[in-house]
Amino acid sequence: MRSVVIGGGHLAYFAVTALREIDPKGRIVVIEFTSEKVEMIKKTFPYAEAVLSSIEGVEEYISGNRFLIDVLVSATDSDALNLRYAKHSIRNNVPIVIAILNNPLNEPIFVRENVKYVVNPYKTITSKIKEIVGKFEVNVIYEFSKIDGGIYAIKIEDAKTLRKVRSFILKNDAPFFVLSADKRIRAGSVEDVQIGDVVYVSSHGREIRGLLKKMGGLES
Amino acid sequence: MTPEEYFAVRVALAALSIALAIFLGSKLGDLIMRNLSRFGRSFASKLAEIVKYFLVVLGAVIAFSILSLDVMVLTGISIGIFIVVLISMRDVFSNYAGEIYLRIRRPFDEGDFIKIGRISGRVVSINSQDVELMSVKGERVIIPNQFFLKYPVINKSSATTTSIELKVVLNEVSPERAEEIVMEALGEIRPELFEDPKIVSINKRDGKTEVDLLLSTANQRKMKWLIGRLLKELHDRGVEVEIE
Amino acid sequence: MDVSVVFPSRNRERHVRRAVRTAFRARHVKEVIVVDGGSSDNTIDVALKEGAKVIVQSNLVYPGKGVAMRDGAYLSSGDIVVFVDVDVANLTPDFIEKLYTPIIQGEAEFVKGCFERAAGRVTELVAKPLLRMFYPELAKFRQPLSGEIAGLREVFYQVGFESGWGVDVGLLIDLYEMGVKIVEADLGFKEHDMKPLHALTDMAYQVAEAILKRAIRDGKIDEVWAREYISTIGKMDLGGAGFA
Repeated sequence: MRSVVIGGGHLAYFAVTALREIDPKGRIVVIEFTSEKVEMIKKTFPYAEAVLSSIEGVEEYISGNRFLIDVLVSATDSDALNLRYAKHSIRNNVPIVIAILNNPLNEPIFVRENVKYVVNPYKTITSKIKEIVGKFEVNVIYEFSKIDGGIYAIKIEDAKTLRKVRSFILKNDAPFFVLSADKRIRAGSVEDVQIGDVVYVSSHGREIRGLLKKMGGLES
Repeated sequence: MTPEEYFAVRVALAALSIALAIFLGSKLGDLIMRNLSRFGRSFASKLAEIVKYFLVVLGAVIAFSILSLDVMVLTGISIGIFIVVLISMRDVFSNYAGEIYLRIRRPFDEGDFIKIGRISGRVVSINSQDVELMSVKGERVIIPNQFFLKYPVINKSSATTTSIELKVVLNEVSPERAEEIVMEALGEIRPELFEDPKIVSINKRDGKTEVDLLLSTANQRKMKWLIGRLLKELHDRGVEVEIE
Repeated sequence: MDVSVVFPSRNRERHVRRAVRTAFRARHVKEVIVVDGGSSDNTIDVALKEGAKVIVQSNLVYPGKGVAMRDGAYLSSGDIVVFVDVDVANLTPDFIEKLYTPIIQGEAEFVKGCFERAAGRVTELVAKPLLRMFYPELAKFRQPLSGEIAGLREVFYQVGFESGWGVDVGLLIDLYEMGVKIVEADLGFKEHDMKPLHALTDMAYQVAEAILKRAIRDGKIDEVWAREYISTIGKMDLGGAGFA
């Protein structure tokens, strides 16, 4: 597949690496704005094509190649540019358009502007710290990009929480596994869940939102 | 109480009933907006308006009755107007119903590429009465929502890739040589494909070798270009070829 | 020619409504952009309700004015981009129009606003002396640190933005060195909150650093001496703890 990554810095590095892993035989084009960065890209990614462009030249490139680009990832160090390029790509019917955020506070802004695939690399920081410290009621482990849903960790601190979680799992037939206090990972029946366990449940957002809000674990 | 005072009290009560109706209508309208907006903002606002006006009419009827005026005519006219509005706006209500269906069922979102009947395009916006598409030719297409209640819609964005089956027919080439040539040519276009192309089958028929291929790409508009490139690669390798 | 007005803003909920409305009333203004610096108040909601485009600046550094200005320029689509402080108490459409009128009239490609106000301490004690030393042609500007600027969008795309307080003087020097036509526009009087003295230490340092870096780049100063001087200033405690 033909992938275009805009930006040659920190965020773009991981985007290019991921695209290479997905399709080692695919064509990757990396666009940057200075010749120094283009040279650096050529050295870092010998398998990719490095293109020097102006800020507005990127939009011309996208428009000119809109029938050929399969995936576009906007990963510059400016969320303003990433938003601009994402919207331009969507208008030009690029099939898969991904924007990588510099500032997680921009996530609702991107979503409001109908950028469907927004990567917030900082979400992991919150969930990892919660997991490591071990103090949480609810921890959002992973959220799917293509559907409204994800994987959520719920710590069973008391009988009330245990009842709520059991009831939720039974009512929604939600798949789950348990990380018990003695660090064993097990699947099994909902009756085996005990106080002290962490239940990892996967569910659609609309089903689990009510439960998570009641437990106070879901931010806006 | 004198008759004048009694009349004044009744006028006051009538005014109060209308004021109360307006107040309740407004509060109920806000409640409807808050709770039903997820089914479509404009649908919720239209319903809120209808409820408000209904309560105002009810308040007027009660006021009339307090004032001992003949309410039958007023009631009859209101019902008549309501029926005429319903009949004349049935398409509008169908479109609102279509919007509710689209919001609840979500067969597609803004930004998806859809096909309904012979019309294809990217969804620009989902509105109270219609859906706006941008066709591949850049034309704006407006489709009334009621069509989505009647006709099937294909969401092409729900699948990551589009695949196409091709039959490459090579003249005067053995099956082994045909496979070699086709694989070489496919190698040249491979960077543009979503995954490795597949040779499904190779058959010899009437002196010609037919090679069935499966190509996939994320950008379906690329297919024509890919086929053109494949043809060129095959021609450059000196073979007579047709593609079906 | 159309105009984009950019307001870098942080915790300015009280000012942003008026600022956005005022900007929309200026002629040729096609969009107003508020670049938020991570406000903890309702700056973003208020700006959105007034019809502004909003984005949070890409890096939440303090001071992030340069980051905000860069993001504002990148998000804009007007031919001319105007930057104005959001908390100018006497902001009027006329105040804004004066900034870009010379550009529309073809007299300039970049305009630096100047105004009557209590003397800027960093301007008089740091910026102007250093500019006189290294860029005497720019010492004529009355307010070289003025945040009220306007320029052709393409011009902003050709320079870098310092991330901190040195952004305004950095832009002035870079654009001058590029040969861009620069004029100063008299905006009248600017009512604006002034920072307390202790908060100016960081600003003074960053302004000095921006000028000296460019003087090194343009060969106007001995590099070794200048770098040591900059690093020495950075370690000095002039009694300020930074502006929170």
